[in-house]
Amino acid sequence: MDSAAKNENQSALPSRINRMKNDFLKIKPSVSIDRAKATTEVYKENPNLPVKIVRAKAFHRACETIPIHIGADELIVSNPSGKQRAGVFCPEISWRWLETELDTIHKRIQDPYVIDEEDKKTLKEEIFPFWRGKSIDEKIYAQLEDLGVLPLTFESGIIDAELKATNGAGEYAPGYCNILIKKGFNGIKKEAKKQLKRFDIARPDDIESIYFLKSVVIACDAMVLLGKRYARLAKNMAAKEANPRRRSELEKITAVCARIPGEPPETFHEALQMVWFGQVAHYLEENAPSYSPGRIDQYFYPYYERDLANSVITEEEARELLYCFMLKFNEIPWLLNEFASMYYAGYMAFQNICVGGQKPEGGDATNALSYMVLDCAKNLQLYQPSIAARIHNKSSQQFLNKIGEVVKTGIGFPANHFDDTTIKMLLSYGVDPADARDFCLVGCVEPGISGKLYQWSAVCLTNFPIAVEFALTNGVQLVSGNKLGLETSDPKAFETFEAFEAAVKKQLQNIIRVSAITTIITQQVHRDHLPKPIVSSVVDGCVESGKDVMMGGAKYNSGPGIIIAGTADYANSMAAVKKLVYEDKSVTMAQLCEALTNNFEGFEMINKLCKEAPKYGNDDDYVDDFARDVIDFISYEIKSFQGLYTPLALGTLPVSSHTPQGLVVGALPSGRKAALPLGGRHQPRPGNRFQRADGHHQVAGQDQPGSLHRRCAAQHEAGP
Amino acid sequence: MLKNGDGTIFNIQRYSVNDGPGIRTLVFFKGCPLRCEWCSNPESQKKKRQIMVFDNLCTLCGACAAVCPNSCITIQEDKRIYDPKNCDRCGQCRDICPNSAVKLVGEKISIKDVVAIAEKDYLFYLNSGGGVTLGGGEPTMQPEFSTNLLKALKKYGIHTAIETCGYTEWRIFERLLPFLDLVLYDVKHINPFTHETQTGKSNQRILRNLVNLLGKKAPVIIRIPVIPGFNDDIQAMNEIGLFLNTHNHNAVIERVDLLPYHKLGINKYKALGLSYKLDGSQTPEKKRLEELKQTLVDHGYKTSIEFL
Repeated sequence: MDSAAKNENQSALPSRINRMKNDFLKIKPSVSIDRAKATTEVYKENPNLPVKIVRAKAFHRACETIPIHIGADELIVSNPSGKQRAGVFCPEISWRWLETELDTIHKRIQDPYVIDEEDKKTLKEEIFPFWRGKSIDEKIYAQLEDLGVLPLTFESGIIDAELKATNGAGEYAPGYCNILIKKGFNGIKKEAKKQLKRFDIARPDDIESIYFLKSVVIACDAMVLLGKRYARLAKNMAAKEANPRRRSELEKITAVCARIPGEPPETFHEALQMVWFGQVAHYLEENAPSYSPGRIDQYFYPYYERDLANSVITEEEARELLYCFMLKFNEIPWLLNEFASMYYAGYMAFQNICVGGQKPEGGDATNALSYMVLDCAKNLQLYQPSIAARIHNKSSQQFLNKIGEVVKTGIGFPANHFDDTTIKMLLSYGVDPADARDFCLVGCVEPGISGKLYQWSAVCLTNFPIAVEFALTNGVQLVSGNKLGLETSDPKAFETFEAFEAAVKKQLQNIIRVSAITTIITQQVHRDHLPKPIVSSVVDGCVESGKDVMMGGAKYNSGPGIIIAGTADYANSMAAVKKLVYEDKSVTMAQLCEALTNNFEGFEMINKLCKEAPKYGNDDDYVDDFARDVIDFISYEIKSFQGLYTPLALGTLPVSSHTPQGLVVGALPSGRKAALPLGGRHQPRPGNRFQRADGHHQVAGQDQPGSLHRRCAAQHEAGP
Repeated sequence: MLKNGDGTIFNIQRYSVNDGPGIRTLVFFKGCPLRCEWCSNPESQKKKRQIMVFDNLCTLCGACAAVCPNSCITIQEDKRIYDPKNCDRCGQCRDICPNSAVKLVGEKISIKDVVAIAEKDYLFYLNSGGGVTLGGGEPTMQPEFSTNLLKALKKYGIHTAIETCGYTEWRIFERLLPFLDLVLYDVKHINPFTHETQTGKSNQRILRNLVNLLGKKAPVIIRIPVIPGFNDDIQAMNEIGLFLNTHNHNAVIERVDLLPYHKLGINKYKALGLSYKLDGSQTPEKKRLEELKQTLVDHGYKTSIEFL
């Protein structure tokens, strides 16, 4: 966007929001250790209590002790660290990375963070030593080592399994609409207490449920306490405030936080504050990606409509509150280690909100708030929250135009999702039609159902073309020289293309098998050592059944997913081998292997032939069929493995992982040289679109993966 | 092998948005009667196949020289020399070049194949109000192929347009017009002598055809390349405005587009072994373009500046 347009957007912001945004942009991201201190204390004090209770107590201590802060212009308040843009460090999940990076994290290239010197001392003296040998990260690593699957995972990075080893789970849509704003934390606590009566401590089968429900009670109390702390702070600030206008705002905040998040909201302002406390609760529970509030235009609308009708609020005031609410999402970065920050670059927390779409009973759901959210996003020009727009056959042209207006600014939002595809996908997994129509998006593109569906988008991230490499090297990784794949045979012995293809599939099966093992171990460690009382308090079914989400308490479960990058590189490589080696016979298998081993150096002619072979994304079935085939093959393969509650699922949403995943893959028959980034999702590789002179291009790139996308999307996420 | 009815083109570009309304497929014809010094597609000028060599990609490895059956290529110390005299454009040098520095431009294509490519984007045409544009090069230089292609496209209900320099016989336009929904017609200068200095041809035939065209019913968009020192002055635009006003009785002119001079084609001259005469010229400034636009607006024409 040119600077003129930028200025125009700046001036489109109300002056308060403009000030807040400008202040925000000056803040350097930092690491906050207050929650880590509280957690460490509680674990130290209670070495023998069950983990569910200890975690809930630790959460409570954090709510009691973290610094709190209300910004000069803020109307929606609170964050998990008492300062803006501070990542919440969770040592019980992983701490080793921060010990390594303690003196470099402020100057690393991707997403640097500052740490206070005093905090560094505390970390070194009190926090790291306590957690040595106890963190989730270490437990998972040790178990994978024992099972002999480290070489393909943590050691080589071919299967990246750090995501859930070094972070909380996240990646779901909390039930703000169906639970939190209906009941408040006091209501959830009441429900938990009621359910507690069903269980008997004298029955062995009931004990875990009792611990779980007690943990929910403690966590709910903690959130009510945090709200009260904010009410007190606002009251004190109001008493000292000279400006009468700001004083009355602070008095309003005092009144809101006196009720919220304990009691259900009665106004638009209270509803926004409630959901924001919900986000804060999640980040205090676990530093994780993609806590996604879902369809805010739907569940905030009744409050908005009623406040307007009762003259409690004007449209302009509502808009200002919504701006304040949306700004808040930028305050919480997802704190990552240096390597992972390449996978998920840009301090992104992937908190997705969704507008438009259909009502649960059918019919267009778009309302005035859908437009207001899009307008705010357009004018704010910030990277969070992530915005998804749902489009269906009866979406109005006006809504589509509004989407176009926002997309045109270049912020990359909203992501547009077509209802038919996603609803079919959810139905195919047995979700109720009304729940399916009520879907929202989680993280980037994953379909979710707020407060009903519990899933992890991924534990493992890997890539397709490494299987081609293994089939051409008899299992040796080119960049390391290590034997990490299966011994499928000397490649020169493949007499037909089909024999070669079968070897590639075998290598893929092995990679999936190791990914599945890693996924299940990771799920178990989370279940046993990282129960999630806050998440469980806002997912339908958990409190009712007395089961934490990690015990399978949710109404619907799905996945976890296995994310695979490099679809285009796979298809291009398979097509090149088929054409050059087996059809044209312009290159022998021996020559090709030698060229790949040498990264094409000294083999320029072979590199040229490889580059000129058919390329994915040009509307050419010769090569595109390999992509369709591998997506089908792999999704059935993945589904054949059972996670803790449901079959695993395929995801082809590498975010930015196709770049680091490229580092583990050597030269490919597609002509790509070693260590270069792989192709992203389903799009053609950059450059391939313009490689030939006779047409392929944006249009091919856009329409080509249609059927493909639908298929893997359908197999990707969601469902019981 | 040239089959009867095939055409010679050098590119088909899908998803074009600057050559008529909506999302379009642009068919680049090879061969043009003019030699405009600013031409950004110099490979379009000759009708026959041509070799293009991109020196920036060439490593002087000599593979092409070794394979050429007619010894057209020699490698000297720091130079690759190509003598087209005996070249029959067999393409072996292109096939052997490991760095893809050699390209062949110009290919025969059948109507069926063009229609098959166009059809792929039918939904895009429908939704965007787009279609197919014949450009190039000069489509009227291949009248049989153009006419039959347009006929075939109309059979599918596809919107059709032509980009033309207008330098042809009127009877050819008469053949094409029944199958055209829009004509994008270049007017470069009203003065025939000035016109000839930098395009190689006088404009008499062009303007005569335009007068005839304006007497018909097909919508017309006038396109004026704005070339520094040639027509980037108020007077030149005034003359064009006056000319249009004199003949636009049927009010078929939808719009006038100003196409500012740019240098994006300059590397292609080098690759074709041609000299580029406008080396010192710059893209006209925005302020000047706005003044020129205003001149045409004052004559009553909706005018837009089409930046690339």
